[in-house]
Amino acid sequence: MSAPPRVLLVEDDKFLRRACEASLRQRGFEVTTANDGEEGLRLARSVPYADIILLDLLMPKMPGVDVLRALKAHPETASIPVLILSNSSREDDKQQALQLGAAGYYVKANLSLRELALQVDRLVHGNAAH
Amino acid sequence: MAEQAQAEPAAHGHGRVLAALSLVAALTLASASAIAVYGLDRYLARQQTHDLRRVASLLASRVALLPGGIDDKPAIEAEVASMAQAADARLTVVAADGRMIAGSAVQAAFVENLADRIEVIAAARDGLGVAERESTTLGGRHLYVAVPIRIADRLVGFARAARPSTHFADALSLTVPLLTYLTIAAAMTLVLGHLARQRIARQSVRLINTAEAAAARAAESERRLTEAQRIAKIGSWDWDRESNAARWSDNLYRMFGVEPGAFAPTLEQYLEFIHPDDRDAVRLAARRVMEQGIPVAMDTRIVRPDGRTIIGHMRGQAVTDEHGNPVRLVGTIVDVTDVRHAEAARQAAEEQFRDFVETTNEWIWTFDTRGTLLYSNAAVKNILGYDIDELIGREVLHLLHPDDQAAIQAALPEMVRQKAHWTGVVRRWLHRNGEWRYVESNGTPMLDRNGVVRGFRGSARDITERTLAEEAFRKSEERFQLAARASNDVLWDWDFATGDIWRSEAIRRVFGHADVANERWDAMLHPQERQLVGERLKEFLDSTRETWVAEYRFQRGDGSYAWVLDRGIVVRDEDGRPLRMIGTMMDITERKEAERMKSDFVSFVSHQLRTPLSGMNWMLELAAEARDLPPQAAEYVADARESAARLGRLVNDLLDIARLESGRTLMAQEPVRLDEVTRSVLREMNAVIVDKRHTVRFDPDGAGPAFADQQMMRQVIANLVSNAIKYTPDGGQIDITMVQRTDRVEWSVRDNGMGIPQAAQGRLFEKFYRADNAISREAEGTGLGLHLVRLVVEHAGGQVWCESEEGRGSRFAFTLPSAQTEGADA
Repeated sequence: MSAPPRVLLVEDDKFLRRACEASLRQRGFEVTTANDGEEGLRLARSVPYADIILLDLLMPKMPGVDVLRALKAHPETASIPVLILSNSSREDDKQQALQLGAAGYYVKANLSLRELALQVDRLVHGNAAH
Repeated sequence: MAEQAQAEPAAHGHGRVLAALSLVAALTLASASAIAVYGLDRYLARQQTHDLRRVASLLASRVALLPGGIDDKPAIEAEVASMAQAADARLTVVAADGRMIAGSAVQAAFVENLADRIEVIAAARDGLGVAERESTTLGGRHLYVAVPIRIADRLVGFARAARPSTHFADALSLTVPLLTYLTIAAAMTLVLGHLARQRIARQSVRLINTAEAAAARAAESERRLTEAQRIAKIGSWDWDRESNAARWSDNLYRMFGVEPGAFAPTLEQYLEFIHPDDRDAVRLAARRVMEQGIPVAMDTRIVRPDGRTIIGHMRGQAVTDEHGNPVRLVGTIVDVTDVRHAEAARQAAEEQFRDFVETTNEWIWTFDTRGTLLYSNAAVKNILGYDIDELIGREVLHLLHPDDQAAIQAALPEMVRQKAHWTGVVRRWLHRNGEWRYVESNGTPMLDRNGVVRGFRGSARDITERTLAEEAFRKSEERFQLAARASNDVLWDWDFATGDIWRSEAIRRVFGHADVANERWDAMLHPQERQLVGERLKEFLDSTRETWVAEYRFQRGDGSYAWVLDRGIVVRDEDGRPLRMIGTMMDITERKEAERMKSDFVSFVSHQLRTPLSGMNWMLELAAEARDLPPQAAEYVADARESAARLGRLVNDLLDIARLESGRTLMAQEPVRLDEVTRSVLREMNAVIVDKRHTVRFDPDGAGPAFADQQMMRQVIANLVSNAIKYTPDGGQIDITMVQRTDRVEWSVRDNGMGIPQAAQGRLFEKFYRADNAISREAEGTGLGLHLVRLVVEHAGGQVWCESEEGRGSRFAFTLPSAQTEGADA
């Protein structure tokens, strides 16, 4: 039995952070959380690296887009899949995130935790297969 | 004449003086002819012969005064007496001939050539002027002789050559014509008589020798006369009754096409040359002049031996003896062929002009300076309704409109003074039927011989229809200009033939474009919309649709952008090709701004709503998964989740609508397979359909793709299908059909549900509107679904509508532009 997949959750809203963390833990993931972009980026660059990063866009200190750009610019973090969890359904935001290399883009209000866990699972195991 | 003078039987001395006098007569006749040829009146000719008589009698009186001691006084007296007699006789003839020739010649000179005539008369006047200045004194009297300058020059030379004595050098140094010389010679005789007979005799001999020389000159004179006749195309003739002998001048022979003196001219010989048809008239005229003394003046055709026919104007007159019996006929024939031909040509030209004038639609007219109509062609009837006869000779200015009449009457004196021409002047005339006609005229003044304006002539045409049309056009144009100025809309007019786009001045006022003419429309569009609007315009022009509506950003003169609502209609030719497109551009920037602010607000609020909404969703989801939840609580949690889900849909719809209304989300215009979208939506909703036991039929009928946004159309169809499922009682019948029209695709869904009240149908597609029976029946609707449908469909250039009967069912339908390429299967 391998070690549980590590999830880095970067989310400034504490209720969302709590609900998401609880749901993923229940489903057997190891979850690390960050309250803002700066902390998110710092944790993302810390060893051991996360298997997947869940990233909010609208956050204090550093917007999610900048975090994403920084992660993709660094070879050691570039290959970690990043799922964007935003509440903006603006097409521009979505396109920008996908162009920067995000693995997916979800509007939190329209996403159930169950579906989120399925996506995370799919991405982690797809990644782990390599 | 000189030949005749030489032919006179004369004794030695006697004869010579007589010959000298004959020479005088001949010269007089020549000068008379010359004068006449040059167009002077007969008076001068007569005056000269009168002077001749005076010379003769003066000579006689002076001879009588000679001292008795002079040997040859009687002989001289006798010679002078007989000379006077002979002179009188000759003068009678000379005067008659001169008059004759003068009379004919005046006409001949007149018809020959207008420019030449004037010139020659001027020359003759000059010659006479010299002659008039020539005078000398004899016995205290002044003698004036009129001699043409040509002759005078010759005589002066002659007199100088024959100068008798140095004593009289001073007197003779004057330029003296022959007659003056003769009188001087006579006076000399008187003076010399006091000195010596021998000298007198010598002088007399010299005089006679001089006269002899003069006779020789006479032949030259005759030649000159002949030359004058040739130039004037005159031939002269005379006929003596007693001897039946006739004389033709050389030029007359030549006119007849024969050598001078080629035959003895008789009446019969003459008639040979006359055109057969004219001979009787000539014979009759000859008889009348001989028997009744009626002068001849007629045209005859003369057939020359060379075959050429000339037209001769013949004049003839009888010379009578003391009893009044005609003894001689004298006359002239003038070659008037050219004149008559010119007259005929002029007549033909006149006829041609008359035909033009009589057949044209232009009103040709002549007025005098008081407005009396002197001439009019028949075209006046078309314009004023009157026949020519009703107007000619009448003062017609009263038919003018009072204003125009006053204007003309005020202007007339000045027009006359300035000899005014005018073109394109429009006046109103009263037609006989009481209507005012607008008449445009051109005119030119008619001047009399003194250059005074006697009237005006010109042409006119009825331009009433044109004027009224122009007036109507002007008013319409004025109304349009005022309306365009009053409006804040830019009016535009696009001519496809030239590519020119005209825009009203509001483009300056509203959008601040200084130069609008050559700007290209699409260059002024916002880059973000330029391509899409351009494509839509092209698609519109290629279709058969008539009305165009678009909203886009349009660059102002200062570089900023304004939102405009552009609406227009296109005019097409019979093949559907656009010829012209005309419409308005309305500045809707303020409205758009308000919409944007509203939309931003909605967007912000919706986004802010989503975060707590997500929290609720996720917490409730966790709660629902909790294992040890009491059943009651689990139920509450489920209800809370449903409420949260509905709130989520409401926020989503609000965001979509806000974005669509802001125009910031531009939907794609791509070919969309509506049949595939419909099938996909039906698959998604299958659970609900089964749950409600509905029967759903779908018939795409082979309809082709439509131009729209794929994602949005998915939502449109989902909304409509979900409505049909929702508002139809369990076990209902739902039919979805598609129809391919010429240039559009129609999609519709029919149910046999509760239907929609009549009053609600018109408002169904409004935002937040919900029909009463829908609210009572179903609490879940947001009132945004159909509004979203309308926004999407209309944005794509389609239409959406609903047909319904309460209690029996509804049919919702929309159309979209067809993306079917020509020739594809329908």
